[in-house]
Formats: sequence, C-alpha cells, structure tokens
Amino acid sequence: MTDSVDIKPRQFGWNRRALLQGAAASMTIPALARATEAFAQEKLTGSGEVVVYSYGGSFTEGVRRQVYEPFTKATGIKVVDVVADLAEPQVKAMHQAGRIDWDIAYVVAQNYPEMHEAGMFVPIDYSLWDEESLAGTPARTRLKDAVAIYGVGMVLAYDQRAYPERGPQSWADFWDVKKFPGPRGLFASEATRNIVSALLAAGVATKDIWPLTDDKIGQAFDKLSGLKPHITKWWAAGGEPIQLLINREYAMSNVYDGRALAAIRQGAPIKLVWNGGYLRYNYATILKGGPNTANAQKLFAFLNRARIAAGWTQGTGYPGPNTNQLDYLPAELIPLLNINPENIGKCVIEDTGWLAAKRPDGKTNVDYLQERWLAWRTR
Amino acid sequence: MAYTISSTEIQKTTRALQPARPTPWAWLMLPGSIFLAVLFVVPLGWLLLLSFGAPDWTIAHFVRIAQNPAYIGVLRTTLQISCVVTALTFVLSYPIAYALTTGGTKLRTFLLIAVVLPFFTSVLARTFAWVVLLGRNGVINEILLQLGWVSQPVALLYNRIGVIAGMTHVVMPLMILPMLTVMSSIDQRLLRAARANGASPLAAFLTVFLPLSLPGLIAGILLVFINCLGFYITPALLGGVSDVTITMEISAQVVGQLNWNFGAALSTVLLVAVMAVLWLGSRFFPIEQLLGFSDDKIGLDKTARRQMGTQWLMRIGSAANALDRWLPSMGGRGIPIFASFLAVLLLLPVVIVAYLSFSASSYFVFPVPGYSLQNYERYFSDPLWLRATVTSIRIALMATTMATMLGAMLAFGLSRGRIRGRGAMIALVLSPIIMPTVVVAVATYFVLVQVGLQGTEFGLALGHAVHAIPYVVVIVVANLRDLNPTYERAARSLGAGPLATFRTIIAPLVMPALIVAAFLAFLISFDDVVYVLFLGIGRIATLPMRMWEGITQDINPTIAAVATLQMVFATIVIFVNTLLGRRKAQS
Amino acid sequence: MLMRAMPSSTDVKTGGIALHSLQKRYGAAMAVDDVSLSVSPGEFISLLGPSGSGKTTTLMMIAGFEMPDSGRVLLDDKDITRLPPHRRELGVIFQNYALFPHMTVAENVAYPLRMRRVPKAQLEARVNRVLDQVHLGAFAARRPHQLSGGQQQRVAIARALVFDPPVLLLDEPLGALDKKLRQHLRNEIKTLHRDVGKTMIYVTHDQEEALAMSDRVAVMHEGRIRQVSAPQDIYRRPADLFVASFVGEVNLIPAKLRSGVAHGPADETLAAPAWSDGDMDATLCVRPEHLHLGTGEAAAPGIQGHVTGMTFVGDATIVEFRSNSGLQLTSKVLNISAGAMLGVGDNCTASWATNDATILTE
Repeated sequence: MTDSVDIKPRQFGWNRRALLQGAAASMTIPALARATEAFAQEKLTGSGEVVVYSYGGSFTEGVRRQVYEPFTKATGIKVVDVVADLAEPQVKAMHQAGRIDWDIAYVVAQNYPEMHEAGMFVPIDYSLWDEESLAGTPARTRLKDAVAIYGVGMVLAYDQRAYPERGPQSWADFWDVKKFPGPRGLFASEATRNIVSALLAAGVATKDIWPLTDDKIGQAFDKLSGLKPHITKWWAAGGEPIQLLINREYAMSNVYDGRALAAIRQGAPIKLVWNGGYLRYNYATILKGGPNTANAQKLFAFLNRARIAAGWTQGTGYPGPNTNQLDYLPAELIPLLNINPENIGKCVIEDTGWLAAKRPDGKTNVDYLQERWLAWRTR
Repeated sequence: MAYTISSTEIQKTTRALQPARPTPWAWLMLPGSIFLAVLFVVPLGWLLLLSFGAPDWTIAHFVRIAQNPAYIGVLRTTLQISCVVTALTFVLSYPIAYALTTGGTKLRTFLLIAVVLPFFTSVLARTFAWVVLLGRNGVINEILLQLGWVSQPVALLYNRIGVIAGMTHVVMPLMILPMLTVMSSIDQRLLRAARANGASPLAAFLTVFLPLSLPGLIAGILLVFINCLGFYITPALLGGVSDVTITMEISAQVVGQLNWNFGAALSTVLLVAVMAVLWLGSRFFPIEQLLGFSDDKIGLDKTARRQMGTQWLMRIGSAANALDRWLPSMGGRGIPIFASFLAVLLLLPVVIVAYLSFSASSYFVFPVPGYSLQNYERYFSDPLWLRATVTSIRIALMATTMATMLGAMLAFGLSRGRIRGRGAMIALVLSPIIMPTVVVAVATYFVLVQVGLQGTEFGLALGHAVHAIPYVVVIVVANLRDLNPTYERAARSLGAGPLATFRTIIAPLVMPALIVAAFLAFLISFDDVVYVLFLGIGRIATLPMRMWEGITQDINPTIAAVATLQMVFATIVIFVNTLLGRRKAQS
Repeated sequence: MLMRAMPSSTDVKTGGIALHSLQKRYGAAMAVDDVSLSVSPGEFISLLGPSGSGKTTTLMMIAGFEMPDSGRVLLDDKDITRLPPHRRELGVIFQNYALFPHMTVAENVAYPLRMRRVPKAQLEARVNRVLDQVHLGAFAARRPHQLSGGQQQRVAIARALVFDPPVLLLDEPLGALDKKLRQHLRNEIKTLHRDVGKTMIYVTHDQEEALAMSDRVAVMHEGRIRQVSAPQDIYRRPADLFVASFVGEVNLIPAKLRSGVAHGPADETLAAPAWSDGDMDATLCVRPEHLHLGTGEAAAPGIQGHVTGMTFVGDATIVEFRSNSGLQLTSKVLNISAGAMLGVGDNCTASWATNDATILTE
C-alpha cells in the first residue's frame, strides 16, 4: 500500500498537468497512448472476449470509449456489450435456466444479497488488481463476490432561473413552499429515497436515519402528505426531472446526479445541493458459469485502476469507488461528483444490509417500504 | 308452388339442430395451437406454478394481495383507466372509421395517416409533445388564459386526464382497423333501403349500419381494452402519483425487486379478473357471436338476447327519426368534417414531434431555439442506429409472417371448425395479450433457452408472433362472418381443389382483413421493447430498444428524428398502397 | 299471387310523378341528359335500356339518392327534388332486395312502420296482414339468408308496401333470378300492380320484361329518353334505329326514297309506308316475323336472294336470307302447318306489307 502511494505522485505529477491543460478531452485516446509506456508489461494480457452488461445509450457509449477500447488495446481481449434496462431479472433467469450467456452484470445493492445467497456470482480475484486500485477503493465497497462499480447520488436540484438570488439549500427548504415557492418534483417509483428526504426535512440527523423504524416511516409519510399538493409531477424516468427543470415545469426536484451532470456540462441552468443527498452503490459481479470468467476478472482489475476509473466517471457521469481517480479528473468536474469527499460527506449512504434484511413476516424491508409506498401513493 | 319450403331449407334447418361436430376446418387450428401451446401455454403453466410458490407450495402471495387494499386498488385503477380509454377511443374512432369507409381516396389516405402515425412516435418524444400542448405553459392553457376562461393554468397533465389522452392517442389504430375491415364489407345499398323505407340518415345508421358493424366494433373494443391493461410507460410519464397500473406494479416486482412469485401471483389475479370481465361481458353481449362466429351454434337464449339488442337500437333509431326535422343538416358532410377535425387533433402531437426533431438544442425545448439537422446527422452517422433499424424490420417481418399465417388458420378453424370448448380456445388465444408482456417475456425466455434460441432474432420473432397472433385472429374472425360459404362450394363444384379454392376464392376475399392483420402484427413487433429485453438477452438491439435507452439514459431529440423518419416511412407506405389500389381499380 | 287492395289513405288517386329536364353529370360523362317524363297515377311504366343508359340514375333521382344537377322531380305536383329520400314516401324495391341481414323477415317488414313510429298494436297487425298476403306468415321469424330468392323478393315487396306508399320504384328486381322464376315473379308483380293500383316505375334492361308488364315503356340510351310509348308502339313504331334494334329483332334495309317510291340496294322497288319529307336516304325496319320469303311468280315484289340457313326453334323456324346485293336478312316463320318449306340454297324474294315497314332516317 505504501508502495503505491510512493509511485502515485510521480506518475501523476506529469499526467495531472497534462490533464488539466487538456481539460475535458484529457482522458481520450491520445492521453492514453502516451501512458501505454506504464503498461509495458501489461499483466492482464489475454485473448478472446468478455461479455459485459451495461445500460445502453450514452452510458454504454461512454464506457466503450473510456474503458473498453483502452482495455482491448492493452490486453487484446474484446468486449462484447449486452444491453438491457436492468440486469437482475436477466441474470436470475439465466441462473434458473442454467445457461449463462453473460460474464459481467451490474446489480443494484438491494438485490445483491438475494442473488449472492442464490450463488450466482464468482468470487473476485483481487490478486489481479494493482496496489493503487486496492488502496484507492474503500474496503466496504469491495465484497467477496462483488465490487461497487459506481455510486449514484439522488440529490436536490433546482432551476437557477427560478431562484436567482439564493436557492434551496436542504430538504427543509424543499419542504418550505412559502420561502421557496414553485412547482416541485419527486421520484415516483421508489419509497426509500423520498422517505429519507422527508426525514431529513423533518430534522432527523444524517447519522440517525438508519434503520427506518415504523415510527420514522410514519413521520416521513406525514411529511410527504403535507407536500403532496405541491408536487406537480412525480417523475418516473431518469431524464424526466432534468427535462422538466429545463422546461420550467419544475422549479426544483430530486435528480440523479449523473444525469444532472450531463445537463450542467451542456450549459443547463441547474444547480445541485449535496446536502442531504442519498448515495447508493451499484455492484459489478462476475456470473458463475459465464463463458469468459477469467477475462472478466481482468476487466475488473483494469477498470478499477485510477486512470481508467476517471475515464469511467467522465464517460458515464457516475464515479466508481476508487478515490485516486480524483487526480485524473478535470478540476471543474470534481465539485459535481459524489466521489468528491466534500460531497459524499453531506450524503446519506444507503444501508443496503438493512434494506435487504428480512422482516418477521418474510418480506424484506425494501418490499415492506414499497408496499407502504404503493398504499400511500394510491390512497 | 313457390310457397312450399324447399328441401334445401329443410336440410339447413335440420343441420342446425344437430349437435355440433368438428368439421375438417378444425384441422387448421393445429399448427397455431401447437405454436401457442409450446410458446405460451407451457410458460403460462410455469407462471401459475410460480404464483403458488413452486416448489414450496403456498398461497401466501395471494393472501398478501388480498390483505393489502393497495393491490386491489391498483387493479381497480387499471380497469377504470382501461374502460374509460376504451369508451373514449370507441367514440372517437367510430366516426373516423365510418369516414374511412365511405370517404374518397384523399380523405381515406389522410385519415389513415393520422390514425397510424401516433403509433410511430417514440413514447418520450410524444410525451414532450403533450407537455407542449397540455402543460402548465402549454398551448391549451395559453389559449384558455387568453380567452379569459380561466385565471390559472388548468392541470391537464400529470393526472388521469393526461393518462387517458396519452393512451387514447396511441390505441386508436387498434380500434379503427378492425372496424374498418368490417365496415367496408357492409352493403351500402342497405342504407339506401333504410332511407327508402323512411329512415332519416341518423336512424338508418342506428338501425342498419351500426348493428352490421358490430363485429368490427366488438373486435376493436376487445383489442383496445386488453391492450390498455398492459400500459405502464405512458401512465408513468403522463399520470399523477396515484395513477399506478397493475402492469407498472407487476413490472416493478419482476424487474426491480425480483419477486417473481409475487409478480406471478399479481399476473394471475389480473388474468382471472380480465377473464371474469370478459365472461360477464359475454353474459350481456354475446361477444362470440358479435365477433362473427357463425350463427349455427347460438342457443335460443342468445338469439333472443341479440334480438333484444337490435330491438333496443331500433327503438333509439325510431326515436331519432322523430327528431330528424329538428336536427341540423350538414348535407352528409358532417361525419367527414368531424373525422377530419379529430384527425387533425391526432396529428397535433405528431407534428410537434416532427418539429422538435429539427431542433438545434440538445434538449426538448419548445419553441426550438434554432433549426438544425443535428438529430438526423446523429442518426445517419451512427451505425448502431442504422443496424438497429434493419434488425427491427427483419424481426418484424419474420414475426408478421408467422403470426399472420398461424393466426389466420386459427381464425378459420375457430370460426368454422365447430369444435367443442370454443370459448375456452378463444380465451386461450387472447391470453398472450392479457398477460403483462414482461411476465410472458420472462416465461418465454425459459422455453427458448431450452433450445438455445435465446438471444437470436428468430427466437425474438417467435415471442413477437405469440403476442401478435391474438390481433390477427380477432381481425380475421370478425371478417369471416361475411364470407359466404356458397362461394367456396361454387368453386369446389367448378373443379377447384381445396388449395385452389383457398387461393382463388378465400384468399382474395379475406385479403383486406389479412393485410390489416399483418400490418398490426408488424406494428406490434416493431414497437416492442419488453420481449427484446428478455428474449434478446442484451444482444439484439432493435430500434425501439435504442429509443428506450434514449429515454432511460439520455434525453435528446435524436429520438424525435428517429420517430419522424419512421413516420415518413409509414406515410410513404400508405401513399404507395393508395396509389397501387387506385391503379388496380383503374385497370 | 293475389294481393288484395291495400287500404288507401285517401280516395283521391295519387302517385303522379313528373320529371322536368333532369340532368346529372359524373365528371365529364353525362349520365342523365335532359330527361322529362310524366307518369300518371296508377300507371306502370318501365325504364328500359342497356347498362349505362342512365335508367338507374334516373330512378335514384326519383328516389332521392342522387341529386340532379338541374331539373325537377314532382310528386303529385309537389316539387320533391331536394327532399331527402326518407321523406318522399316512395316504396323502393332494390336490386338483390337489400333485405337487412341482421333482422328477421318480420323485423324487415316492420322497419318502415317503426321509422314512422306506428303504435305497436297497429304495427303488428299491419305486418302480419302484409306477410299473410305474400304468403310468408310462417317465415316471419326467419332471417333473409334462410329464404329462397323468390321468398326474398316477396319480403322486399311486403316491406315496400307495408307503409302504403303511392308509388313503387323497382330497380331490376328480377335481375338475379333464373328464367322460370323470373317469368313467374313477373306475373306476380303485374298482378300486384292490378290489385294495389299503385304507380310503378320499373327499371330493367330486359325488353321482354318491359314489354310484358308495362302500360308504357321509356327506352333510354346514353342518358336520354329515346321513345316513350305503349309496348306495341315501341315494337311496331320504333322512333329511331336504337329503339328498333334494342327492342326485339329487326331487319335494317338501306333504302333510297325517291319521288314517293322506295328503292333497295339493287334499285328494286320496296314496300314502304307513305312519307312526306321529300327525297332522302333512309333505313327501312322490318321485323323478322313480317318478312316473307316467296318463290316464283307468286312472290310479291321485293329483294332477290337465296336462303343461307334454317334454324328450328320450336314454335317457329328462323330463316337466314342473303340478297344478291349481299344484304343479310332474317325471317321468322311460324310452324303453323307442315307445308312446303324452303330449303337452304333456294332462290327466293324477301317482301313485306307496306304497313309492316318503318322508315327511319338517321
């Protein structure tokens, strides 16, 4: 570990300058070509292919440009991407059918425990990882058979045009319709994040959020009921709140940080409030019985290298857990990312263990929350 | 001498009284039945087992549904929305279908385009078009405010109104096309006969045209109602927080929370509820007969009931006749004018989508800040988009071929086979579209994976065919009623073998219905995003799939450009069809 | 069929139809061109012509389904040109009858009464009475497709009569039937006309039908009425070449009329009625049954030639004749006696009585 710390500044000193000069284009292929020297003895070299799941659209395009192409160039392993809305149902189906056509899938944290117990994943070979990668990636994000692939923040965003002086700074402000009038938006499909926002608005401290006891849930629903008339539209698709903020149908809403990032970089007048954000990790897993497990291990090791992790972040807007990537990211980007320690410090981090835990009646806490959410929203 | 009953009539009567025995036509059901059995019944059975917790048997999932009023509430909401949309669609579609049947070539082409194009607009682009029209700062609110009719913007979107408008807009082809095929086969001279016998235009319509168009109408209502149950993207995008449909919930359970047993239990409840609704419906309306299944199986009570329906319309018709002198006369132009007005309404969102596709902004902004072809450039310069387009067309063609052939054979068998348990067979054929697509898709995956067809275009086409067969069957059956068996007997007597009879007599007579059915099957395959997610195992990128990614991952008007290109293509197809039809009529 | 007189609403004889200069154009084609016709109450008139002659269009203008571009339609001196069809009170019997397939026989017949909101009790009585009159009482609950062609026609008639219209319009009602049935139904319609005394306007392309049934026949061609006359006059005194050749068989002999004498192709003298228009070229029309073929000295003056063919048709023999000048003529000889007949190749002379020839100039 100390070795990697030693190496890092030397390498990065040169690179960092280049990156800063190169601004947004810094992580594209020319920069990488210059860096190939460092990978002269690439230990991940292999052959064949690896079948990797991703979400499609600009996400997949970004990953392909920033991660897959460098990976193929460095190792000779081709990346075949497969695209679906969500990977979990397909993984579960493949597992049940006994024919695994994929190597790598991303699963949301709350689904991980069930799938892990069903034995769907292969343990991750951390011995392939660089020292730097291991050092930069917090241990809590490196599980035995899964590794956090990226963090998603759900944060408060507002239209700067609606509040040119001073916008809302917390969920309490979000709830304060007198001080900050204007149409609001919240995510319709999921309970947890709205409940947490409501509790924060009610004055519950970040550290006291988990577990979500029935008392707290009741308190949150009361709070939400009070705000219900002011929510003009409960959004359902990730791009919606951004679109509606731009169209002035919303003055403020909760949004996915990565989606907001893409809009802000294109000049959208949207401001993010990290205070009270909700951070969730999605996990990358290698599927047991997949066609190219060895290559999958190599891709994991590769994409968690700080340099590549920074590429991932720029390609997708959602940063992976390796904090060393901060050294490779353009400075103007860092304040907008949840990997920024300053931002993550203000966020509530999802308690995946509690959410996936079973209640006495056999339902998981997530199921229970969703059921109450359904009852509340349809009432 | 002319007043004695002829011997053929006696034969006809006695034959009708004999117990039904399957005819050779029943054999036609075989291929389609096997197809559905393998690709749908097996998965359906698996699903049922799953809902009972197989292999650990339990009814806990059903208990959970029964205990939480929210699930029943969601089911009720779904049925409510479906009923309202079906009713509204019917009211709006009927005049359009009527004008399509009776209008000139120009009017027909215009109406057909207006009806079909909304189907080709991407759901997100369309949603934004609705925001432009119905939003707080939308066109309608602007007009209302300017007129001073309201002092504050009216909430037209993100509530039930928005859901209903958005859904109605898309399902109209499903109502209009079956109506159209049946209406075109109605003898216009019957209307003249009614007029000559003293019926005003309105009364003639109510007492003659309307009852004769019933099979198409029932087919349309059935298809639209069932189709509405499966909506979950439009309600999520246009609805309010409480507009949760059962399909949204099932989808969340299956895809989001991986609770397949519970999702299966919810689907089972949905299936049972819909079957119950249809069964109840058939108590009051003889759906089977109205759909056009031949008369000879009708029991006396059903004939009586049908008679009652006719009587009822007759009473309304005769009442309308009395009002005739007070009704304003539009000189027969009322319906075409009204239909054209509706068509313009249907086209408004479509036109907005086309307009947005030329936007220079990278977001949906109205009005566009500047014009640019960047969205089209992005489409044409991206091999992924182009490849997806070709893939979609290829899969849709495969699915259309299978669904049209198997569905048409099933329709003939069902209509003429005189098999026992026809009602059950019809229910089975309709089930693939009653069940939420996501559930059927997961189940079908397990069948395909047994033979290694997962992730292949053919496998996906098989799934689409299962989903399209019900549409084909309903449309063809509704049109078989007017296919007089005498023509076939005549052909047989003139020396045509069964195949030659089919080729020379049946096929040409059923062809219009088959074309419409094939067209719908194509649309259904071409529009799908759910089957492709499961059966494609991520390896097949179709056009709607790419557009769907555009919705979940990005928001940019490229999808508006893709939608516009699709609409241009559809328009060209309709135009060419019209021109060919005209040339054929001339030669 | 014995149809008792329908109870007439008034004792005044009504049902007179008058057409004044009707015109109807479809695109460039003139479908009906300046048609005027006056039909008296109770008259049976046929509109006879080949397809495309404008007869059905004319009928549909009377019924109100087509609007004339100009001209007027009068019913009992009331202008009904712009009146919608359902207020004209005219009974129409359509080609193929247009029975409503979704209604029973009784419902079909009741239809016009329902539309006139006739009280239920009276309605049933009238429907039953009419159905009995057409001998279909036992078929009241049947659907049209369960009836034979003849029965369907009687339902159509019953439906058109049940509301007691003063005029019946019939659009080729016998078109789809076999010959035997046609003859039978033709008689039924004639009997019906005699019994109910309604004005009937009957459209047909079958000249035999028109001649057999009508008080008067209006022959139409290319949108115009060529001749309106009693059937005998249509046959015996056709107004022009079209009428002559459309109605029945006819021999057309070109003739030069010079100083009161008609000359044939070989300058032979032909029998012809007197004319008053001076010298001209014309055509003589002679019906085959009026054309006599004689041999030897006994023959009347006429056209010289020989027999080219003979066809036995039961009651008569058709003899084909070819003149020395190449003219092909036909003679119809009734087989009254088994007398000496001509044979093929026999030389003979074709002649006719003066009054059996018609002079047509066109």
